[in-house]
Amino acid sequence: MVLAGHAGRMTSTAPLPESPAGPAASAVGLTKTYGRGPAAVHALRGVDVTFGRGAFTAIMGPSGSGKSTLLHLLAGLDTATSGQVLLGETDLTRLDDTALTLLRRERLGFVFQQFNLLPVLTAEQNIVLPTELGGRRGRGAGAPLDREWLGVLVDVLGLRERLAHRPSELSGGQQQRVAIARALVTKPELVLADEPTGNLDSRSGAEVLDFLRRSVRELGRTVVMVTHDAVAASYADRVVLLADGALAGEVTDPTPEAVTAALDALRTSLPMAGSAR
Amino acid sequence: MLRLTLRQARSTAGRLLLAGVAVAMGTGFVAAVLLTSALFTRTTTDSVAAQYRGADVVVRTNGTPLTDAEVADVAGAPSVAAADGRVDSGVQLVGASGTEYAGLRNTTTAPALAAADHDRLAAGELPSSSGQVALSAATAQRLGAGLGGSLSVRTYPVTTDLSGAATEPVDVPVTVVGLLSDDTGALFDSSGAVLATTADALAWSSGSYTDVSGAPLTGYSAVLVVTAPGASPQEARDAVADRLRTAGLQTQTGEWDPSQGWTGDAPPVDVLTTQQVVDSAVDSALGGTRVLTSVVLAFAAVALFVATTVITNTFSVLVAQRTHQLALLRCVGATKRQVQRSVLAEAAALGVVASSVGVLVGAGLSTVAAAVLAHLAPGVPVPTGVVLTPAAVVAPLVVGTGVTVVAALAPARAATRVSPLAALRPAAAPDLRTRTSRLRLASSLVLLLGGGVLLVGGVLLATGVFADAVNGATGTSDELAVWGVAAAVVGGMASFSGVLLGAVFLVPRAVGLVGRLVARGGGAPARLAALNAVRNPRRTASTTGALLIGTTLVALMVVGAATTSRTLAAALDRQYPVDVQVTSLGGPDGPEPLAPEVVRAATAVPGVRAWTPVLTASLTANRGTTPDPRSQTWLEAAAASRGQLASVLPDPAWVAALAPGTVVVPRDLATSLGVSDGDEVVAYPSTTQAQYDDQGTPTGWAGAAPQGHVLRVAVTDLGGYQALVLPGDLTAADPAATTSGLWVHLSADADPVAVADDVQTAVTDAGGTDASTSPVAVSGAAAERAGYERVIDTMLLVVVGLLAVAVLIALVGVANTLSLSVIERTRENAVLRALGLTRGQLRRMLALEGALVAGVGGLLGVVLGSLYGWAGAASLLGGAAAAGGSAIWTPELPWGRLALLLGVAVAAGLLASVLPARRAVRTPPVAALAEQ
Ligand SMILES: Nc1ncnc2c1ncn2[C@@H]1O[C@H](COP(=O)(O)OP(=O)(O)OP(=O)(O)O)[C@@H](O)[C@H]1O
Ligand SMILES: [Mg+2]
Repeated sequence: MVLAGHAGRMTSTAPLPESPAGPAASAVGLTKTYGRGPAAVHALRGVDVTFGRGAFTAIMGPSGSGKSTLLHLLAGLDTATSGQVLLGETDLTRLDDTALTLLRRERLGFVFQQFNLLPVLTAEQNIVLPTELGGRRGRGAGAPLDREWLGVLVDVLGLRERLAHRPSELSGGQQQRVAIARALVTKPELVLADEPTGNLDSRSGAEVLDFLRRSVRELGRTVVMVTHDAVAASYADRVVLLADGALAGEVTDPTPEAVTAALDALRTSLPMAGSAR
Repeated sequence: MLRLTLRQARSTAGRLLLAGVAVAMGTGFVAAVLLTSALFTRTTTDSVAAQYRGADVVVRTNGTPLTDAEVADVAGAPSVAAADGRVDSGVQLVGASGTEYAGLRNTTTAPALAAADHDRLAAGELPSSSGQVALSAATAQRLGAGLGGSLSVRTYPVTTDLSGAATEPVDVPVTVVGLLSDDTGALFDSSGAVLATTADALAWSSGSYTDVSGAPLTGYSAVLVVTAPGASPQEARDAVADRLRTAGLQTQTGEWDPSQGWTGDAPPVDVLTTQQVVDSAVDSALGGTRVLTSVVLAFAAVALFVATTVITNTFSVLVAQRTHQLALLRCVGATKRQVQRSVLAEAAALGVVASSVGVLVGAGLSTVAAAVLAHLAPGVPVPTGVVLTPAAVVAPLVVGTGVTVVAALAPARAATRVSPLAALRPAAAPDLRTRTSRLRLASSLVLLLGGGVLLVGGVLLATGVFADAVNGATGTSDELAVWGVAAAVVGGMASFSGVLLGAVFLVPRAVGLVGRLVARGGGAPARLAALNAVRNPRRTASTTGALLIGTTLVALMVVGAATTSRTLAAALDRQYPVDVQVTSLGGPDGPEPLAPEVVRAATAVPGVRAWTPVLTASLTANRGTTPDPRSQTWLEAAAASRGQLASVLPDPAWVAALAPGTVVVPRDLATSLGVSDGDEVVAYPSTTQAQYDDQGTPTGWAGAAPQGHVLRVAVTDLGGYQALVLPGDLTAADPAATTSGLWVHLSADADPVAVADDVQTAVTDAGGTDASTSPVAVSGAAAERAGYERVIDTMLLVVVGLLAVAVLIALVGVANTLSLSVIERTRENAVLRALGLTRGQLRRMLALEGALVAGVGGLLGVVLGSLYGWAGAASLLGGAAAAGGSAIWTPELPWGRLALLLGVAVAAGLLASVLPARRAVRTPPVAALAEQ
């Protein structure tokens, strides 16, 4: 209902991607091992997963199952031990640091659990930061800021009154909404969110999730979100379950009940994996 | 708790490293100064003591030489075992390959004293009979005489014949029987290069003393006394003094002391223990060094002050970063005192370690300095190695450690000022509107304004602007100038303290302003750099403040020196308007023209751009149109065509008024003659004799009244005391005027000293040795001006070199603050990297931040320093400023040097970011994000 007034503008300002051929992103035999020898931690053990273009996918699993690790690898923030990460046609594991950085700047959006806003910048400056990282000229100047799109984001996320404030003057929910606006401002191919609602009350959480879903449905964005909350996961088109660094099934068109049931099943099959929240 | 502290210190050792470097640099500076000073004291003491080796008491004459009878008196005094007369003089040695003036001393006969002579013998033996000498190996080699070779000693017998007939030198042949090693004491003991028997030494030095009538006096300059067994030097000294007093000599046994009965400058004879002699010799030899040492120590104090600022800053940052940890400690039960003590213990550990390193570095530096000195000046016996006096080692250690602990006091208190729970919450930006902040702002403004007013007033006072108003005369302007300088110094220091105190308000604003300008073209990274640079105003202010001190002082020196040398140059221009002046001094029969070959030789020297022969005459003149012997004054005049004069003077406008019937008078000369523009004077030859009455008052002319030539005065800015006229006017005034002068103007790019030397050489060569040619003098402003400039430049170089240590420490501080800030912002930088900031951009962002902080510090320093430098030069040069005219009122800004200073600051800021940036880009974003 919050979004109703803006729906028309959202569609008009953000054209759909041209060729929806192939998945937006995928992991092929992805492994990630921290440390070596007896102290080695296998955070991911050969994960194969595809994220369809224009889909909203949730990743769930017990604590320590490798969800954040998977997300970091998809975002090119960390290097895989083996396997491939594909964003569209691009193999992220073959890019050097600069290319990865430019890719993050132009084609990816990331929402952190701890917001991670820059304390010296105002809310508005934080939101537009990714469009300004390229500077005026030079390599990877990126797309110029779409003012209209920014207006939509700000209104939809209810930040209009807070734009001039610094993060220390915002509530947790407001900070997370600023972080989401920052992730979406460049209209990235893939938005990755690590427990975006973890620090929000249920109402703000619902607003954020609703916005993520609309941006998938109406703008053709691809969103991958890690969550511990079955209700949050039910906003997604598909839920991918991870356990102990490996894929442990999935739920399509999830409902909170279906997700909870799947998680319970997972927990009984893996009694040592600890307790999911 | 202590163990925890040490563990903490070890884990943050990297963060303390740069602070340690700052302390080590400051203490190293102090140690190097003290050690070098100790080195020179030791060298001097050794070489003075070597002169009197073996003697316990020394009897020295301050006038008439001591006679054999007096030596016998001394030897006969109680407590005296032996006494030996010492001849300390000099002789001209003539050898096969040259002549040399060398110190002369007699060999000694007392066995206790002879050891010193024997020890110096490198080869051969000591002279034992007349006609034998032992001399230093180096001298022997220069003269071309080996062991057993022969030389002549040139003596100048003094005759009582006062008719003025020159005495012919007499060469006495001598044989070299011994060679002396010359490594010890050559610096201060000039007396030992030649040893001869007492009889020879007395004979050869007979010209050294004469009585009132000029008759030569022979004798000893000192008596060395060996005390009898069981007697102290003091007893022997007093006994000798008593004995000499009874023999009718005025003596003194210590410092000049009227109570001992002598009221003149110095009594004829000093009777002193050897220790007293050494002490006073070292005192007088090192008097200058002591002053130098204290001046250099003042610079070391500046460096230490800067180091203190850097350390305070480091500890504030460390404590701020550790607030969490410290608060946790407090939550689990550590007392305030324990937390404070842990911070102070950490500081003390750092201080001790860093100061020790500093002392080692200082010792290394002074060793290197001694070695370099020994290399540059091989004749000066500089001992190798360092003399580790306790003071030179302990003082820097104590100062370094003390400074570090004092610097950590405020941060240690801050560590516990907040309640444990408050500290666990994220820190908000410091509030600059608190009561203490307002107090700080107020006192800063008071200091700034009060100091500024005092400074301006002092400068005006010192430059004599008020002199007329206050006294109506310039008589006491010197006194006013001293007060003016004092006021300017106090005002300068007060206003600078105001700046430092107010840095926390001023600097962040300045950085923010410059940052915004820079950020305009640089996108988000530049904007972030600008914002981060002022994120913590206190930290930025104290980092910049440390740099501000150094750069202000350097800029002060640079601008002060430039303004000083320009003002002096202007003063010299006014005093000597001509670069080089070649003048025939004339013979006994009056003025003579310069020989054509002299003119030809002088003008052929490379570097001469323009020249003109000038007609000169010494005239007498008085105001009015008729010669009047009662008001006549001396007037030196020179003449050449206007074009010729304009070509050799720095400013052609000075002779613009030159026309037939006009005399151009320098302003200073006009003042002393009491003439002004438009006045008429009448000039006539100075050979015209006036007639005087009994009181010496002129009454009329001795012969016929002179004709006189009437000239109209044009006063111009021309310098010097020579009036200029056209040749026709000069010959009209004095038909005897001759072309005795040659005025030379040098090319701008020529080295004035070298060219002036070359001209002198050319003139000397061209003049030949023919006695008939009149002597020719070469003078002028160019060489003198260049000499001043060289002195000022050298001093500037030394002072800037000394200040460079402070600047360097401040730059270490910039690097330090930046590294600590980067550590603090690890997570933020990771977020930026995750959002798409490339490594290069992150590096550049940090570089910009460092350059901003350092650059603004440098810029403020350059501006402030230029103001202070100009004010300082203006007030110190009060008198010269008047001579230099209005030159002082426009500061001389050596843009190149100031830009270099600013460039160094900015470059160092960039450089300071290299290490922190390495660390920042190396950390993978995920690892940094995981860090709490
Ligand atoms: N830098 C690291 N070094 C070593 N082990 C790590 C590192 N980062 C993660 N791990 C380990 O990898 C595994 C997966 O971690 P990850 O953060 O992906 O889990 P998660 O599923 O996101 O858990 P949560 O739901 O608690 O956030 C864990 O066992 C963790 O301990
Ligand atoms: Mg996680």
